Order: sequence, then structure tokens, then C-alpha cells
Amino acid sequence: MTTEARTTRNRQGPGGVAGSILRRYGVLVFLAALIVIFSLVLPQTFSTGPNARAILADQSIPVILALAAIFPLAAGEFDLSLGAVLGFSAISAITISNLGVPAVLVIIISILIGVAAGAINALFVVRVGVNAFIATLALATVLAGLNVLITKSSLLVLKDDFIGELTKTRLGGLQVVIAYALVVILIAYFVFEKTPIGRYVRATGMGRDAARLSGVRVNRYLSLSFMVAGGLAGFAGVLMASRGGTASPTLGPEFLLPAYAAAFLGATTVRPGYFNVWGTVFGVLLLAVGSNGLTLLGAQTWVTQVFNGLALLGAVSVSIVVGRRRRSST
Amino acid sequence: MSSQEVRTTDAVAVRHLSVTFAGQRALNDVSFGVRRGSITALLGMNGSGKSTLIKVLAGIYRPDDGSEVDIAGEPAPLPLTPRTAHAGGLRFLHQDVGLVGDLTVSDNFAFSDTFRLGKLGAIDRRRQEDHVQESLERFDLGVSPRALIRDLTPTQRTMIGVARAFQHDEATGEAAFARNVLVLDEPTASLPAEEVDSVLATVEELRRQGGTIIYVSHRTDEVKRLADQLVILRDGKLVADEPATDLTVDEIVTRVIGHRIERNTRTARVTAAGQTVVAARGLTGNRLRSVDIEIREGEILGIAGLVGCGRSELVRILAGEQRRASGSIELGGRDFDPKSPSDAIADGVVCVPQDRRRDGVVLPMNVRENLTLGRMRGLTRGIYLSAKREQQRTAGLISSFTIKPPNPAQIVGLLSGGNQQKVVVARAASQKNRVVLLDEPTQGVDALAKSEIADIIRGLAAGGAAVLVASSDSDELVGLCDRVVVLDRGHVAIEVSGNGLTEERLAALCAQSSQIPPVDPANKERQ
Repeated sequence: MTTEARTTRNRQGPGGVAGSILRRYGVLVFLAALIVIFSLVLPQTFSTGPNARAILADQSIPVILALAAIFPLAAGEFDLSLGAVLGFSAISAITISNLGVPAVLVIIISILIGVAAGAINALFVVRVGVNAFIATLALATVLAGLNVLITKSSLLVLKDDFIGELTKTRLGGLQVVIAYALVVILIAYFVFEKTPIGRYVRATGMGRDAARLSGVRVNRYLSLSFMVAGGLAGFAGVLMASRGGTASPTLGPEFLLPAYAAAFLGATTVRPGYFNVWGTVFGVLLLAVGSNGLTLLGAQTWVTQVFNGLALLGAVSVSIVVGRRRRSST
Repeated sequence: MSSQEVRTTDAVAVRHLSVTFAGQRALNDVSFGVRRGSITALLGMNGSGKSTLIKVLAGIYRPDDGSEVDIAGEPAPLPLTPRTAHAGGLRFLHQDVGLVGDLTVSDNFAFSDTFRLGKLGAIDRRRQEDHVQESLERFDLGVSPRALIRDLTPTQRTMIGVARAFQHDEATGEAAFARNVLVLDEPTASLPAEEVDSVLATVEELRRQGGTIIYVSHRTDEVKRLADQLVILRDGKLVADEPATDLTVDEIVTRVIGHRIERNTRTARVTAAGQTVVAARGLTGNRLRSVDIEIREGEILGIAGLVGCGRSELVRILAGEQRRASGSIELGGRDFDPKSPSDAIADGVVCVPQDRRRDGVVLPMNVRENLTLGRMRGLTRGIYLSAKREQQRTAGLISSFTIKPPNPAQIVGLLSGGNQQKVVVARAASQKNRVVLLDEPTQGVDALAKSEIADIIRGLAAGGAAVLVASSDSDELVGLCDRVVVLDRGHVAIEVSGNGLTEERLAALCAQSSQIPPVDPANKERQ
């Protein structure tokens, strides 16, 4: 099983400059087109400051989870446990916060829970050699079961506002959670593009044998990517608990597929063929704007879901077809 | 000799067969016939056109216009396809044998013919197994049709492959021996020495029962024992089509290699008796058996031998990619036991692996990213990777190793093979190394890049590194190396150096001919 993101490459092909821009920034162009269309159709509801701020705030936690997903993806493996880790972290955060543990400690524990989950994945995938798809799916199932145990099958409610404060603050009219997401985005960008770690994680995904023989400790980077992903999912979980104030026993898994959709959309843009941070951010926004506009248009839930599925399938297919045509003409 | 009359009894005959790739003649007007019920050996060096010929028969390559192929006396429509080749009774057994390991012998038989079916199209297990059992018994193989392929030894698998090629056809009920032609491509190359005999006996048994075989091999001794007819190719042309009894081993070797007068010009480098850098004692792995090797500072040591001799394994063990089963390695007088390639690299032992596209470069990444892979020391400030320093180093490597095009942002997968290889070598040489290991450094590389890479390798040795070159190309070894160790099925067969190191002699030694061509009496050999 491979998570090869190779779709197109950043080389100018026969399509000329316009084709090249469309290829590299297709997701952005699509995002801009959606914003223009919805603004024209829904000037009263869509193109308003509050709506824009709401989209950004609502997508802050999904962005963090999508960035979590691109670490193992770039290293060549799927981590299907991220949604469950988010849920487990949120439920744990509420539980220990209700015991009176200070907020800072709750945050640290939640992140560590995520890192530990990543370490378990790494243990089975890297040391034992279990297929990552299976190992992470198994962990997701275990965590889902533990969630039911901890919550005793009922909705968990945050009693005191210790960790609630975490997301209550506002910065110039914007919810503070947007700032958290921005910090995560910038750090992830720095790690991926400006450090040897990002390079080696990618090399592990794109050519593991060659990377290992070149002296890259590929097992280390693979383990690291699982642990970073788990830690980010843990952080997303505590933010989720803080923002929502409640956690249902089944919280988590529903966030997994949108995160992957955004990651794969992201791999078609900005740095086509590479899972990359800004591409992933735009991927999340594209899906969010699409579903927001459609909802405001009065579309039912199923329309939004169909849109999300088609957007992913369309964007990835187009970039593969364009890439193939270009490659065959070289 | 190419205008030989094609006999009517030929199972397969090719006439005026030419194959051209991008203006290059891989096969040039080759004509010969394969007599039914005989073993025809096909010989030739790498690049002689041997495998091109087989791939035409297998329906993989398209021959040029004017070529003709007869199967069972009938002109076959060209180009052949895998389907028409199979329908014509042509069967191919490659080195990897092509059996599905997790399935049974019986299932694997069915893939090359069809399952014996019962009512409702279900597999009639009894009938299928009886059919397979019958085929197995003809070769006296004590293997159950229900045995899983993965539980068998490599030798048994080879023999299952042979038996499968001669099963009786379900549709026509035709006896396969009278019809099928089996092309065996180096069947013994990766088998342990003591088991080769049983494979050869199977092939002889096949002929006794009337089977027709085309036997591709590098081993003159095997060919001499088995073959009725020898067909030798060199540089795409037919150079011999004669009964095996008419040629001596020496004559065979001479025809295969050709009288290349242009002896490789080797600048007789004075091997400044540098210190021993690597000393391996009793090195044993999967193939290697108690191998002793020493490499000195500034020296280029060649490792020769046929496929399966353990060349690559030696490189892998020294490079930290494979753990040795036993034996010891000293590096600069200290014990050396790398657990991974990065351990070896940390100790100054770098490797240029054989499979460039899989193990050498990360194809979707660009030249810059590949050149600094695993070599980021000196490019970082803390955790931060300095783009400027990386650009500088990359630009320097691209110009000194003449990587073309000289574009650091070029995706490596789109470079030519020679330039990909230069990237791998440049990366290996980008930091000070004590030992440089190269496995088939110029395989699949054009002539110009080949000589450039050879120069780079000489430069590495001149810079004081201990260099090991494992290669199947005698020409390359003679041109580069100070000494060459010939491996044979995991053992060190002989070491040659000085004037004893000639291409003919090396090729002959590798082919394991019983009579090693005599060394010029004026030359001394160091053992």
C-alpha cells in the first residue's frame, strides 16, 4: 500500500503558462471561483464578515488534524487512527479537567496521549512490521471502545471552565483558536520545508530504499511522523473539548475522512506531487467554503457530502491526467 | 554461416532477424534453427543481443521488417505476442521462475495452461491434481501437487517450472513434449553448486523424452555438458551456429568474447602500498562462504563473478545493509559491524548500490534533494536547513560531476540513466570517505557517462579512498582495477592482478572454464 502523492510535478508542460498556473494552483483557483460565485448568489449571507470569521474558526481544528495526517502520508503511510485519537484526547481532557486538574496540565496530558498513540502505531508499523492501514485501524477501534468505557456511553460535559478558557479569548474580533491553527501551520511549514526533518520524512515516503541506503534513518523518521501526527491530533482533541464543552462517546472518527480529503487535495497544489502544508490548508478551506455556501443556499446535508466527495475525486483526477499527459510528451 | 538452410524438422527457426531500438541495432540479420528434441545453447556476453532475441520470441519486442520466425515449420505472424507465442508452444523459464509462492504446485500448473474443470465450471480438484501428478512423475520429482511453492527449495521450484512448461494441453490433449519449446534463461545462476547437477539431469531427461530446449547460460562447462548445438551472438550478430562437439571450451570462450585487440588502456598506476583499510575475514552470508578480502588505501579492488556468485551480497554486508552470518570485518584496524547503512556512512563507508532506480535515487525528488540526502551535516544551522548552503554544495557537485542538465531543480526520474548514476556517485563522494563501494556502477549507462564515471572512480582512489567495484563487466574491471577477486558461488575462486588481468582471462575465469587461458609467460601473477 502506498500513499504516493505523485500527481503532477512543478515543471512547465505543454499547457503553457496558464496551464502551469492552473496545474499548480488549481485548488486555489477553484476556491476563488467558489467564493466569487457564492458572493454573487448570496450577498446577504455568504459574503459577510461574521460568516468568514465563522468559517475560519470552525476550520481551525480540522486544519490541525489535516496537518497531522500529512506527516505519515509524506512518510508513505496512512494513519487511520487520527480521528479516534482526537476523540480520545477530547474525552480524556474533559474527564481529567472535571477532576480539577489545571488547564495547562490538561493540555500537556492530551498532547502526550496523542504522542503515545503515535508511538503505539510506530511500534507496530515500524518494529513489528504490521501494515500501517491495519495497525492504525486497529488502534482506532480500540480507542473507540475505550471512549465508550470512559464516557459510560453518555454525553460528557465539561463542568468547570478551566480548559474552556482556552478558546474563549478573542483577538480583535477573531476567535483565538484561529491563532492556534496559524501557529501550528507555521511550525509545520517550517519543519516540512526548512529543516532536514521534512526532507527526510518525504524521502522516506518517496523512495524508502534509496533514502535508507543514503544514510537516512528511515525508521526513525517514520516513527517520528506517527508521533507528531498523534500529538497534533491530541492537541486538536483538547481544543475540540474546550470549544464544544461536551464530548459524545462517538466523537472523532467523523473528522478523519475530511482531513484526508484536504491532504490529498493539498498534494495537487502549491507543490504538486508533494503533501504540503499550504496546499492542505487550502484544501480544508475549499471543502469548508463549498459546504458553507451550499448550506446557505439551502442545500440538504447530502448535497454537501456529495460535493466533498466529488471535489476530492475531481481535483486529484484532473491533476493525475494532466501530469500523465505532460509526462508522455517528454 | 548465417545463410544456413533452415531444416524442416526445426521446432523454431528465425531468419534475417533484426531488431532496432532508436537507431541502434540490437540484433543484426540473425538466422538459425532449433532442432526438435535437442538442446540448443544460446551464448553471448551482456549486450550481445541474447536477451533481445528471447524477448522477440516471448512477444515482448517487435522485430524489424523482413525478419521471419517459423514455429513448427509454419511462418508465424510477426510480431509475436505473449499469447501467440504461448499458443505456438513457446515456454519461458526466467531466473525468478515465475511461480506464485503462496499457492500450490497444482494451481501454478493451471496458470500456464488451464484448470481442469468439472460440472458448473468448478475446479475438479481430483482431475487437476492427477494431471499435475502425472507431469511431476515424468520428471521424478518427489513433490506433492498440493505442496505450497514457498515451502520448496529454489532447485525444486526450477524443476517445477520445467515440468510445468511440458504439461499436456487440456484443450487439445496434445502431448507437450512433441510440441513445446522451453527457453531456460540461466536456470542455475542462483542455485547452490551441489544442486545444479539435479537441474542439469532434469534438462537431460527432458531431451530424452523428446523435449526441445533453448538453454541460455554463461557457464561454458554446463553448456559443454548439455548442448547439442551452440548458437553464439556477439554485438547483435550470429558468430557461431555449430554442433557443440565441434568446439572446445577455449574456442567457445573466444567466440563469445571476440578477438578484441583494443586492450583496455590502463594507466599502470603505481599502487602505493597504502595501509589496509578494510580487512574481512571468513565473511559468510546467504551466498558468501568464508570470504577473505582486503582493500588498501588508494586501491581499486574489483569483484568479478557470475550472477549469484555473491558479489552484491559482499557489497551489501560491507555497506551495512545486510548483517553477516559470521566472519569479521576490520576497518582501519578496528572492528566494524554496521547495523544500518547510516552506521556505515558515519564510519566513512559509502555505497553506490546496483539497483539505481530503486536503491540509488529518490525518483520523484529533484537533483538537489537527492544530492544532499543523508548528507545534511554542514548545511544546517541548528535545526534550520540553509537553502543557500545547500544550493552552493549542489552547484559544486553538479559542475564537478558534470551532471546534465546542470539544473538542481530537475526531477531525477527524468534524467538519463548515466546522469542518475552520477547523482548517486556524487552524493557518495560529497563527503570525505574512507571506503567507497560500487555495485555495477556503469550498468545501463551510455559510453560517455561510463568513461566519466570511471574517471570519477579513479579520482576517488587517487584521493586516498579504498574502492571496491563489483561488476559483471570484465572490460570495466580490467580498465579500472588494480586487483580483481573472482567469486564463484560464494567462494573466492582466484585473485588476479598486474598483467594477468586481461579481459579474456577474466571472462574465462568467470565462465569457470576448466582450462584457464594461459598467461603470457612474460607476465607474473600474484596470488
